[in-house]
Amino acid sequence: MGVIVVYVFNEEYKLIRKEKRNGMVSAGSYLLARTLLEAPMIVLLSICAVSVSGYGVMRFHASNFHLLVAIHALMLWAFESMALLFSVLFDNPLLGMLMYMNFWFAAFLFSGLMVRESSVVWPLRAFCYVLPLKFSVQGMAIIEFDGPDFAGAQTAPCPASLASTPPVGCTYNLVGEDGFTCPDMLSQQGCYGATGKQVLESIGQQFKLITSDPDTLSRDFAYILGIGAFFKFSYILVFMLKTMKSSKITERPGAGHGDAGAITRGTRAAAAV
Amino acid sequence: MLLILAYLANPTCPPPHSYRRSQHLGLPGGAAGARILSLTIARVVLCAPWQVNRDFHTDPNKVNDIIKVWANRSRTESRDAVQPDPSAVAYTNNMPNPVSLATQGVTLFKRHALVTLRDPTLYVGRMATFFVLCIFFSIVYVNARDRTQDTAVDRLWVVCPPPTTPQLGLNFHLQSPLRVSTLQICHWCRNKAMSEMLCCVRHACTHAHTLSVARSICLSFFAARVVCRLSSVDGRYCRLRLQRRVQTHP
Repeated sequence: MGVIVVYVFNEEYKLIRKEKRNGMVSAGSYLLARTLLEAPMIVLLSICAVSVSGYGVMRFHASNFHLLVAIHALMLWAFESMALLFSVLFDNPLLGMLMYMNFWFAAFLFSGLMVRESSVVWPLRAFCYVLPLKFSVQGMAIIEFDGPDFAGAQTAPCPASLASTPPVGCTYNLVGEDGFTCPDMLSQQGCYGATGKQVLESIGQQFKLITSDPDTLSRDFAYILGIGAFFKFSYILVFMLKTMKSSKITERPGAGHGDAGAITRGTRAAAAV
Repeated sequence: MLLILAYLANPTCPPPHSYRRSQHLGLPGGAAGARILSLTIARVVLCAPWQVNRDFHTDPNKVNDIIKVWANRSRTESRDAVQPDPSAVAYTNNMPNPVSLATQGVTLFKRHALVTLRDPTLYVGRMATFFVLCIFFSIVYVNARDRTQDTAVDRLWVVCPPPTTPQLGLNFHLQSPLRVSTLQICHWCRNKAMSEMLCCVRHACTHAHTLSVARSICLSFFAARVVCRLSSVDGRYCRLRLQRRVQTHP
């Protein structure tokens, strides 16, 4: 959906550039208005995305609604900022859209779900740290799994005190906390845990991206905010530079003063020289 | 006529361009015509009014007199006509100058908000798309809504990728059937992949009494359910359609 943003803002950028040169608006006021309008719209977008589907159909943990909306909105904002940057970076919107799709796919590829971060070679591993999807997935998993217990597993037969000598069938994947067992299962292969943390740790053995560490959540928020801010500031910078850019009026060498033909655009004059 | 006179008075000046433009605009006539005319005349006067075309056997002084009269008249009229409205002058004088960044920002904010509401491409359309596609994904994963050991990994997939990738899934499934005829929809319904999705819809609708929100989703997918029911009666609807088609086009 961010591809639409690239196209729309590319068209709008061209209009605003013209308006600015005509003295109708300033670039700063336009950016201010757009940023003010963007924030509530992004939140509404994320509410539309997760409310009915997540909390109506999938029975997500309702008390964490605000957190899920917040991290989802931040992720959308980061991708939106990326789209904004590509909308002004290229005059042709098609190039911007292609670039955005490249980055989106890179975000998906290097999110840690397909390839674990430690398996990615440098310098490609840098994509794991500069794209927002990895941190969004991590954060959303922590927020959602921090809820009611998962049926089919029990913690009572596996107290934390027996962690050093675990009873048969008990799994301890969190230090200092109770273990879990699935009494109805013959094999403990598909037993992920009773609490959300235990389940996340069990899944995290397959997908290293997933973790139950609550400190990771605040770090994820900070990372996404930082990445979004980087793209946003880059967009503002490029926008200001490109709207301020104008042709330099120079005098053609050898032509007399006042000769209309002597005044020409700087680039053409430079080419002629 | 005056234009022609002026041109004939000095063909080296460039009135033909203005003349063509006035013709294009349906002029002379009106203020714009008078302006073009006066500009043209002024250009002619400034050039060399004493040069007269030899083919035009008229006294050059007469031509110059006419031109001068028109030029003076035009200048006088324009001077009289452009009288600033005192209220407009007062309004302009009272305007804060320059307009601050915040004031411009607020004005632009209002205008962009209006544009955002009127043009759904940027936000409103995306909201609707997100809403529908995320519901689609949640229905695909509807069997994983209970927190059990079997659904733990499925819940991870429904939490993470679908909200972030609403643009990927539906193209192959819904858009192409929407373009085909009702007859083809019957065959599409019996397709294995789509029947799985429709069974998910049916499942959600069957258990709607437990979830008030699911009822609203059922309304959204009413059309899909109707198609599913029609196809589930052993293709009876399809056969009816086929029979009608055969009768219509034997």
